[in-house]
Amino acid sequence: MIKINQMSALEEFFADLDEKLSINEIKKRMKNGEKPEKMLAETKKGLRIVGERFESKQYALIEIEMAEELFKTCVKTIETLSGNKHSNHQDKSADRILEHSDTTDRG
Amino acid sequence: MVKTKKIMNERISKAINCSTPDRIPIALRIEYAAASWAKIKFSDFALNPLMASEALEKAYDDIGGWDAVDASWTLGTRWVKSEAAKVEIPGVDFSDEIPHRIIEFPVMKPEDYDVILRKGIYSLLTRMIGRLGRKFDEDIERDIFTSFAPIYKHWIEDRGVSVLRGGMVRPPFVQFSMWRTWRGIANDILSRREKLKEVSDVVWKDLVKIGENQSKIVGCNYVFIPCGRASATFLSEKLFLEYFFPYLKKIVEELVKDGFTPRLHCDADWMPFLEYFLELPKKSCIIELGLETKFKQAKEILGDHICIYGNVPTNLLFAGSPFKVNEYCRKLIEDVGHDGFILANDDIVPYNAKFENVKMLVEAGKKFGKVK
Repeated sequence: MIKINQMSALEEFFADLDEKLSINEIKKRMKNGEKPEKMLAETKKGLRIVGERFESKQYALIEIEMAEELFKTCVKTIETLSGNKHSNHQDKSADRILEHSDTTDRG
Repeated sequence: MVKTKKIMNERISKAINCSTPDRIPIALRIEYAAASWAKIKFSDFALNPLMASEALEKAYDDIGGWDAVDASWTLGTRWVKSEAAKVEIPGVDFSDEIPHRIIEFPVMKPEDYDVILRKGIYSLLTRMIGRLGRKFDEDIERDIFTSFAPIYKHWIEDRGVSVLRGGMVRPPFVQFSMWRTWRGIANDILSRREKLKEVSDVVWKDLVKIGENQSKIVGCNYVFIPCGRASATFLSEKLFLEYFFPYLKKIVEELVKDGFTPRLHCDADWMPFLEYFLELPKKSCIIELGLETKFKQAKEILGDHICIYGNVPTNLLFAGSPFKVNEYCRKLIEDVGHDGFILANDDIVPYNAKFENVKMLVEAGKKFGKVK
């Protein structure tokens, strides 16, 4: 697992699936003129950490679903604030629909 | 006959009390398999409670009887008339050869949490079922369950068979994850977690009242609680403790206080969470565990606290042989022992299960389950 001290604040907020702190961090850094690409890369790293936490059973399927949703929100926020409505960002992972094999009995 | 009925009921009661019965009670949850064996249409099984009950009773008699059944005759009618869900019925929406399907569809909108807070759960249910083009209110629900009551009476009083499901209570997280879908509930935990908690704090008691009322109408005090969506397969321990378990605990305590027996249906993986169930009222409920939870270890953890129920695998019942079923049951009973245990199929007997395999489950239970 990647240790906390190796993470940026955005990576940490994302990995903890904290939407409010993640978006506030993006807004703050965008205001300070940071490059969107850097934040996008950190968001992707946060997504990878979520995957690692899933592998180590710290997270379960709902957190994977949450990470997908959070990733989409972060990308949308970065694109909107950078004025880039037609981003070159080619990562389609956020558009993927997670197919659960949820065969649990709902009654 | 009266004596037999009394013994069958005592077996179940003793198992729930984690004491020693004359033999391990046997429960089967047979749904569309009964229709296949009786050669009736799946659509009839789904939508005609009396035909469904007759098909189940034929299986019961042909197999030679066992101790407890599930209320399979309520299945399709409940889903079609009183659930806020998109349901496809065999013979109506697709071919008549496979069971009904529940479609993951966001019938509840984010703003509907406030409807619960302002107007209560029935107001939301009426709106959501209305969105699906159907009418629903408390009177309709009461009429549906009243129509089931004579069938329950037949099984419980005439046949002396326990029916392990009267009403149903889905804990708030499980219920909202169905109405909002997985994606919706994931978004709610991200974006409106305080609202989710606020509504859960309010609604759990209303959900209990609905389940208790259903149970009272049909005259059966077992209350079914589907929990699978809160298993370790789907929730981390942190979210389990935040959004699920405190409410499950309150629900179970309330039901037990009011004289009902909760039946916790725990499919998927519960291994990491099992110790929390020791916080539930002792010797008062049944926990159904699926194959992903190791049964022997579960018994070691839950000991004489909760009666465990299960878990002859589904695949063994449709692809196995009577010999393999017999061996599985023998080993299972050897592992678990005779106290606080109901021998049953895992989840639902598959619609394509072989009759001889299910019959062997019952025969093996009667043979190896006897207390010497």
